[in-house]
Amino acid sequence: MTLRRHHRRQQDAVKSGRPGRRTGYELLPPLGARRIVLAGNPNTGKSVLFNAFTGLYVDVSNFPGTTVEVSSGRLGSDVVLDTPGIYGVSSFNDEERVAREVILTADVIVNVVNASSLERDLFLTLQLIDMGRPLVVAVNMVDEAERLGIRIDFDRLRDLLGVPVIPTVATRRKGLDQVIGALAAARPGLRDQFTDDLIQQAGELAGVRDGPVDRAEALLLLEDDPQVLREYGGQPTGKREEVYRRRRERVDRVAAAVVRRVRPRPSMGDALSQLTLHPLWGSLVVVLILFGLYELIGVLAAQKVVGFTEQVLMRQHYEPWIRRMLSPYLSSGGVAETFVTGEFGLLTMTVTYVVGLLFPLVVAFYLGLSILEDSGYLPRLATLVDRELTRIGLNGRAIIPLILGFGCVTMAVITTRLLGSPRERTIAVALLALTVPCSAQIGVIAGMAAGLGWIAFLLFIGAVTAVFVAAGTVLHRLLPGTSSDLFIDLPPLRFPRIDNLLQKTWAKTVMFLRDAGPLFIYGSLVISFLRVTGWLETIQGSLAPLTVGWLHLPREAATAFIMGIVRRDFGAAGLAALSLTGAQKVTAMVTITLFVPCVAAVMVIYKERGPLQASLIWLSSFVAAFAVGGVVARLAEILI
Amino acid sequence: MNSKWRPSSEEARPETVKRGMAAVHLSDARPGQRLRIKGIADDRARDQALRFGLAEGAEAVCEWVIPGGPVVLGRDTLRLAIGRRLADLITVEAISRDRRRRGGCS
Repeated sequence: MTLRRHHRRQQDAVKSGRPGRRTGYELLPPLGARRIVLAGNPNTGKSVLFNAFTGLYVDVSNFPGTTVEVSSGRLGSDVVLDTPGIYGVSSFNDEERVAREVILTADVIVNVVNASSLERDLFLTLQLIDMGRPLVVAVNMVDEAERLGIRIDFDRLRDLLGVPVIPTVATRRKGLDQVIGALAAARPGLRDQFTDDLIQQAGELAGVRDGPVDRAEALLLLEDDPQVLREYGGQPTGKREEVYRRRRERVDRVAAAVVRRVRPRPSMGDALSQLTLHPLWGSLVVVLILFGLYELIGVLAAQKVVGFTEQVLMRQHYEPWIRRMLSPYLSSGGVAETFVTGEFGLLTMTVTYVVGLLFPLVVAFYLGLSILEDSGYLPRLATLVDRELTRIGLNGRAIIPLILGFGCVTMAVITTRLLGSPRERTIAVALLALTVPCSAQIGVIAGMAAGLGWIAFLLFIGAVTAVFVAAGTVLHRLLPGTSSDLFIDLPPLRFPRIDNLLQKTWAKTVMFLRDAGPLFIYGSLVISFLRVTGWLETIQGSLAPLTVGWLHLPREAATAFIMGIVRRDFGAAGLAALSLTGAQKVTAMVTITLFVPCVAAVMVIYKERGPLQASLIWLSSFVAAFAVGGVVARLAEILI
Repeated sequence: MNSKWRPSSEEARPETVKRGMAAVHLSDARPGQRLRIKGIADDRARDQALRFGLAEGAEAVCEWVIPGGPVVLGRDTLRLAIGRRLADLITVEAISRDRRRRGGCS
């Protein structure tokens, strides 16, 4: 059931005096409260407005069935919902689908537009107006527009749109009280007559007998929104382009009437912006940023902080303490002890991993990601690497999940949804599962690589890169269909705001741990089970020929690979604990990097790509890891 | 690369185009050129372009070209990066021959 349907049913129940059943839908407000929905293009400062309205107590949750986050909070007795940034309401991607669902349940919409780009942002505004929902327009970042030499006639804009228009500078809390004050005056704006006439016939045009009663839904039906068409069982009206074109013309007219440029804008913004797109300098910027991220996640978090939280805090203090506390109740060496406080126990390994290892890594990872997101750099990076990624059947946007993979492959697999076609998603997921080591693993591998010299390092990088390029090229050739093209907006570069970064990082960390926690519990249960039944040793024995005969590693390495099936960094840690020669270390590093993704990632791949692809990806990681590992073992023995 | 996807603008391009006056593929634009969008031969991209503010008939400036890669188009404060294959599907008309050399040139 869509959120919208549920919301409507609940409202009907209120009207008829029969309160609806509670279904645990977190995003729904208490009965009777107004739903204020913030909507706007990406990079309009919507979240800053949201944070200013709702204060500290914000609930961030994934919209049901997606990975898109929706934040909700309170403003007095009303509920405020933030939506993902979109350029229009429809179903072009997950963000739009989520925004559409939330917008369609709104009582009042606060449309946040960027004062410097009214020509673009007003498209959404006019679409919201055509939907007929009560609206307030907040023209944000007027200070930045001022600096760019843009003057806006706000009174004229209000008259042309027919809704309250408030200039704001959300970061300095300017105009926010006026926006709140204007909520009471929110009203449906001046609709486009042509579109309005078509809306009346929307049901007819779509061949639906009982057309939508709601104007917003009727508009989406007219605009061939796939979801709404499906709900009403209608046929595409073929009117979308015409409606869009009319709206675009009106946007251009409105913008021309209210925007005055007192000086021409700089043609490519600042020098830094150009630098990021330059083939040479841009690549240097990438290297610098990757180095910075490595220092933040790989060194500071994965080594220094985790070295303390995991090794000292959890292993030396917490684990002995919990064992002591529970020893009177658990018989030593018994099954219950293995499951609860054993080596892989629920209260030992699981807690240590989640609190001591995962938590610091996830915080660092999200902090790094938020900086990249908020600075407006990611779209530039996507543009810079587009040419290279089109060679393996992806477009520049795929760089985002690939980079995220270095933080956590599981998270990265989820974000492959932002890619334009199933073909690209398959390629990206396969590459992530096969070749991208996650931050926890990088930490362990970096430790192993220390002191091995640059030949070993190049061998490692070369082997992994070769597999990346080979796998991408093969998939690109084999998979049918066409990949989508890069077509993105490049926002201006700006300095991220610290408070926004921290708030975002915290909200996402909490959400991640809430989702990942249970997976660790299952993983721990499975290993303890294998151990109790003695199957762990059996599997280890059967793997020995491969590890000793082919990879030239000691017999005990098999144990590490078994662990690696659950979590790759776990496996890497197992390998790091063995005493190995230089050549063996390189072999171990390559093999564990290419090895199967952790259980959590496999589960997400299974969910995202289905059982067939998940099994194929899992098996090919296995084969690739050992095949390439064996080759590297022989090369390393010659070279090192 | 990807020769099977590309309508191979190098070969299909009429002679007049090289002189920079009539309809050209956006992929052939040079940084600094003022352009008018003539047509977008991709339904989804056309809809998205309307939202972004690049209707057919709109004027824009080619701001940047990554050699063999995306073209960056600017219109007012809007800046759009368009992948090469899509840029091949967009026909434009050069309305100025202003060629300030900046960055990569196609």
